[in-house]
Amino acid sequence: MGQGEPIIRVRDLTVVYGEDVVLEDVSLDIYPGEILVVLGGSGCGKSTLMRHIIGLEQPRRGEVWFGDTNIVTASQAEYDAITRNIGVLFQGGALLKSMTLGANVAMPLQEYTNLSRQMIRDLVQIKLGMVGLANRGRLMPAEMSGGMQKRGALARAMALDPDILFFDEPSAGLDPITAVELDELILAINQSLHTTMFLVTHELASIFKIGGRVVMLDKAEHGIIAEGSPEELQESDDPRVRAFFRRERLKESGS
Amino acid sequence: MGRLKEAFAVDLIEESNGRVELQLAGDVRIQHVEAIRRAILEQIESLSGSTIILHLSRVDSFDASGAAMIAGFKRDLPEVDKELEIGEVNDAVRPLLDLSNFESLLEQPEPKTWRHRSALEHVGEWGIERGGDASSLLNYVGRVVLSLLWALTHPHKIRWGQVYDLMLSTGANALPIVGLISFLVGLVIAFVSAIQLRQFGANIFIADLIGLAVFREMGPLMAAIMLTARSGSAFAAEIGTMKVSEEVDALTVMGIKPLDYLVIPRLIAVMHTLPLLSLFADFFGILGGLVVASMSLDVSPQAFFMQMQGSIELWDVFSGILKSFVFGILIAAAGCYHGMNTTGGALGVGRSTTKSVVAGVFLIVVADSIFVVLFHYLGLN
Ligand SMILES: Nc1ncnc2c1ncn2[C@@H]1O[C@H](COP(=O)(O)OP(=O)(O)OP(=O)(O)O)[C@@H](O)[C@H]1O
Ligand SMILES: [Mg+2]
Repeated sequence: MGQGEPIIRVRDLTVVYGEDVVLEDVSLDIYPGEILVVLGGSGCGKSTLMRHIIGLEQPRRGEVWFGDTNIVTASQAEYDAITRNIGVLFQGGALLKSMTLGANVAMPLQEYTNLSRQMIRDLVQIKLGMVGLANRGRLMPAEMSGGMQKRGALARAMALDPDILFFDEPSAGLDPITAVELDELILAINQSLHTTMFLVTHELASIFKIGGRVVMLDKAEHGIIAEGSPEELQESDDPRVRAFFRRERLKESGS
Repeated sequence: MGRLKEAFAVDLIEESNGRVELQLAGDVRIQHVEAIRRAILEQIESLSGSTIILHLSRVDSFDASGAAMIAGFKRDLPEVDKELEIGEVNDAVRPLLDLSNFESLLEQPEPKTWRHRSALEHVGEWGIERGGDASSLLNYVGRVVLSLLWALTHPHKIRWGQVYDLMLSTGANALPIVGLISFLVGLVIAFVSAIQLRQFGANIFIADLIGLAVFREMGPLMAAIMLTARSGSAFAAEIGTMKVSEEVDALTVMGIKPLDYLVIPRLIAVMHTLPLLSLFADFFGILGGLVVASMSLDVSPQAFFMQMQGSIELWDVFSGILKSFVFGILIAAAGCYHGMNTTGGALGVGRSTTKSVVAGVFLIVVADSIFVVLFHYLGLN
């Protein structure tokens, strides 16, 4: 899938909490237009990896290059320039609870652009329409279901048409049908807008549906143990990788 | 050991050359498990065999506590040179024994944090933590004040809409309770003083006393303490909730600095509302004093105010307002600091809220003491 220069280069990222090493010397390239799926058991450091790539936390060691800027050492202005081009969907949605859905989606537009009020209102409508929440802009997050909040948060993440979208377990906590809808939405956005996507998940159904390139993290290794397409990983020689796929399959057929 | 009155039974079926076979029957459930354990131990101790075989084929029901009991025997019996083996097993028991590896769970060393620590160690740790808390809180106050100065020189960057909303919730909405509390405190001070003053026939001096106490100390302090309880705690809870639901992170990646968006508006709002609240508290405190003066000291309102005018200077009122201004910054900073440092879900939010109130009141009292000393040495009283 890799085309041209990587859009993000992660080098030797090492994260230590207290005395626990979570990630050790993780290196990773993300290419424009691809969907990179990060896979792994609970607690192996998937969210941690994502939070460090988007510069929310300082690693013990390592670099994360967005083009020529290392986000680890970036100044405030450089950081703003990077975040202008990324959108993030957090595990719980993270819509601001104190304002309406519409105001949430409008927020990045107000912050980064000098568009007119009318223009912003129209854009918000369009983005909400894309995630199937047209005319729901008046709702407060507390009045929306979990799936609606996730979709609303996706609309906010896409407000500025970012080059890269980050997702932390978008389908976690959703019923299978809503989860599939969200996966389809993600796929559709990737195909129509060519948005690069970094997607953390551990749902096999999502992985096979979305495809793309998969990297698998392991808790004991503190890093990446396998990389490839979902089908390749499923046939992997590594017992840990195979075990993951088998166990998840069992869980899915069991429930 | 009749099965009829007991829910369980431990029977010896065979004892030969060092092997003891026991049959466990009945309900092996959490209500009985301690009795069962003791019954089995009695049997084991009364017999000399070193290999105990426990048959479970007559068990009617079996829960996790039974499995834990067996795992416990397996772990502990080797210490007295005995061992336990499981004999026959029926379908009531097998699934639970298979389900999870109880023995290996019990054998794992306990995590470090469960280590027993002495009281002294606790006290030391507590002290170090509190010290660290205090210095990073002060550090934060410093940083926040610098950002505040920057924001005040760039007023177009301030989110005034938010500031006005916050002024309403921290100021206007607090008026009734601040008024009531101050009135009552003024009343109480006046009552306590009245007893003394009457003895000396110095009734009229109630006006001087109430005026000084209220304008200099009670007004600003009461308003500040109410603000800590109402708004400092609310700041910690609001920001803490946003922190644990990743809303603060969402702001950061949307290019909005949480300090500018969440902290500065709160600081600016409180900085303005607390001095006003404190004036309001002054008014009601004096009113409380006046009620006592005219009802139990026979001092007429005219005399009361005449006397007060003579003894109170503008500085007395102004110093109270100056203090409130500083208290406001401290309270808001403490609330926001504990909010921003919230971790650990809903429980963490509760903890931060408590900490913010304690820190707020502490900072107020310390700052007030510093003011008293400072004013004294500057000759301002
Ligand atoms: N702020 C923190 N302080 C200390 N330890 C942390 C912190 N954040 C994460 N950890 C630890 O780092 C490890 C990885 O956590 P992380 O949240 O990245 O897991 P994950 O792969 O996203 O798991 P899940 O699939 O359950 O979301 C865990 O062991 C966790 O306890
Ligand atoms: Mg996670």
